[in-house]
Amino acid sequence: MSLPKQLQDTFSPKELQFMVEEEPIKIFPRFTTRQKIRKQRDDLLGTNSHRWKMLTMNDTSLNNMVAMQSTTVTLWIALLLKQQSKCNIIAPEWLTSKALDRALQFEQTNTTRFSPLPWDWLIISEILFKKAPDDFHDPVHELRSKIQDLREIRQLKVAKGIRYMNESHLQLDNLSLLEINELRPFISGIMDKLREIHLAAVGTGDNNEMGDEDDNDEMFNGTMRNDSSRLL
Amino acid sequence: MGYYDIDDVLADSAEIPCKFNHEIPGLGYLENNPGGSIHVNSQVKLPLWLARVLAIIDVAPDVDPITGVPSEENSAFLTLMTPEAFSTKVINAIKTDPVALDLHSINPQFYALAIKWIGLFSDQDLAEIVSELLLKRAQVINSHANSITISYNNDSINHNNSKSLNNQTVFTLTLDEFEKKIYKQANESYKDIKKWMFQS
Amino acid sequence: MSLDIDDILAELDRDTTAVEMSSDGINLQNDASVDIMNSSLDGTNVAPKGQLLTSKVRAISPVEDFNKLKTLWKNERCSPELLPYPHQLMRRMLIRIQEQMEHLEILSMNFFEESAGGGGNGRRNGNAPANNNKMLPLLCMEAELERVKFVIRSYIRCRLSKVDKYSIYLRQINEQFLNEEHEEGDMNTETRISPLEALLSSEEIKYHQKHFSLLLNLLNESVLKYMSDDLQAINDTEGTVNMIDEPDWNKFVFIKVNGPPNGENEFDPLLIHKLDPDRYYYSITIPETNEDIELIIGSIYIVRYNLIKDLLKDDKIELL
Repeated sequence: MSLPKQLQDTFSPKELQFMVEEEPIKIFPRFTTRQKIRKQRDDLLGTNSHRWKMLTMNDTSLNNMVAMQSTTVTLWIALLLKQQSKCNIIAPEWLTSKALDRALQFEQTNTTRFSPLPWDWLIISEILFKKAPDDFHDPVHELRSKIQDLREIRQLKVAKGIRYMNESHLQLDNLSLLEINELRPFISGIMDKLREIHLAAVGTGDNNEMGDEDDNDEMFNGTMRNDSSRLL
Repeated sequence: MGYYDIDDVLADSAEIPCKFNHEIPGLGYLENNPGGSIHVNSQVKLPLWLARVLAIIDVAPDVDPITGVPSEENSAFLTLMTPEAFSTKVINAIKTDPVALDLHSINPQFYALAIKWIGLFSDQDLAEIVSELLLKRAQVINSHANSITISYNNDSINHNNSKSLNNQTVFTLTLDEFEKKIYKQANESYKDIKKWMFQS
Repeated sequence: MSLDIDDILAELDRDTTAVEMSSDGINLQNDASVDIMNSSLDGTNVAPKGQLLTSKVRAISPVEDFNKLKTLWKNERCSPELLPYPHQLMRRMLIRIQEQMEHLEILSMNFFEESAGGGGNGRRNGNAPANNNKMLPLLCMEAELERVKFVIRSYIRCRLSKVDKYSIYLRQINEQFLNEEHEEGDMNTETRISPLEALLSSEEIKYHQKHFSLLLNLLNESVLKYMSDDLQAINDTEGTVNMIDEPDWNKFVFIKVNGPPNGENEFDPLLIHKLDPDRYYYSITIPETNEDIELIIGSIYIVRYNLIKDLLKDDKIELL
């Protein structure tokens, strides 16, 4: 009840978006907040109470914005400013036609590895396509189709890689936030079951049973008990 | 897992063929002989939870009246025999075509039962076969889960026609309960992401 | 469940917002260990300034705190067990939220007066787009506050769902501890902290107690009282299957290896350095096969929770 079932053990896409919105991005502000320049105008307006005082981010850059000079802010601020037509978002370097082509080529030549795209590539591209389509140099439909190509080629690799699941571990370098999340229930579910099968065969029960009652340390570490104890 | 896990309980009630090692008075009703004894080598199907205990608890071994040496025959009440789910026939079917196999009809709690059976005998071979089975089927489960139709608010995005949708249904009917659960979870997960990406 | 900010405000001296930096850097920023030290006392003194002459005291920035909170939130969501409650961190967060709320109130009052006094647009329409640059900071600060609240709410909700799920288990480990404590008698003059006190906030402890008694009452009234005495147990651990649901310690989780929080790889005794290719890694071992796994810094793995839970509690890895 405290947490909806579908949010237990995983994250919803909206929560992933929330996480990505906390990442920094470059913008061209269309207004100025830097005090020295503002000062005279402030005096004219007779106010000085609108400084940015933020809890979760360094507000220096927000208080030192100069119109049309690039600066770095948190993505959700950038989106909010964009929505108010107060800034242009500078698309990340990897999110250009050229860079995506390079990534696609990497994916095609390396059949067993993922290209080192940013951790949030799928989410941030989706957000920017929707909320700042006019800030790209390349046509958005072209970028979108390249992102889609990348997504498909990587999904194919995942589908092939699934057969390497085992009871021990997997290394998943360059798999991104969204990809991990959509695979989570499947991969962890199957690997958990493979582990149970494996542990049953080597005779170490994996049944969450209590260990020795008076062995406190075992208690907290969780215990493995010989399965034969289940038989008696 | 856990005490209240329904699949665990159901797996424990799977019928296991058992062979009695001793003559036991009064149990004749198990083989349509009420009032009589059950005989040595009689075969009876018992639920796993009961059979397991009887296969392990020792009865006092028969002792040779002259030499006083205990007999060497199996001293437990009964011997467990391989259930249908792990018979040579099924194992061969698993090895031939793990994906086409109707696992649900073999046993709806196939993996839960397999884990129990493997644990009883530390059966490495069976563990390997079952792991391989799960891996092979997992790949198909994943691709089915990922390619299913999503439709909401009548604004549907159809990747499949109705015919392949029918195939989906047939396919899910052959899954054991654990596989079904994974299929559902994976499907939900893929669907959520797709929804998020298509939302305007 | 409400976290009473006033209570916390009253008992906290603002100037103590600082942590110890141990000189070897191993336990740096380990909120959990700091918290456990303090939560048994009345929880007011955070940094025993001057007691540890060798250690430097450093103010914690709100940004670091928020980043830490986000990490804790993600870890809690992905871990099978309930992780320790970050007492000091949450205190600081709640104070800051309170302050910011007050600050925003003053700001918006000023804003209202200003625009009213300016004679121009006398009414402030909350929904009007902030075409006025002066509105923007206020707008963002309000939005930010909502974001912080969201993380805290989601974090607490996740914790409460685990308190619900492991209600009986939590109670059992605590009782076991108290029994041991009792047996040891007065051997220990120092009172140790019970598992519950280490894991939960005082509000969560109250919640757990209430939840447990409601659960017990429900089970008794609806089922157990109609059964014979020997079938009434709900915490039988002697049978073939344990009745108490424990966290699935071996559950597979996705992790990212970060290394020691201070970034000083060469001073982390657990880190192994190998050349060619140059890499730092933690080594973990699968118990039943003795298979060693290299957890290389910067890499992503899926591994059994039990094998990495100490690294997680030392902030050397995070869950994804």
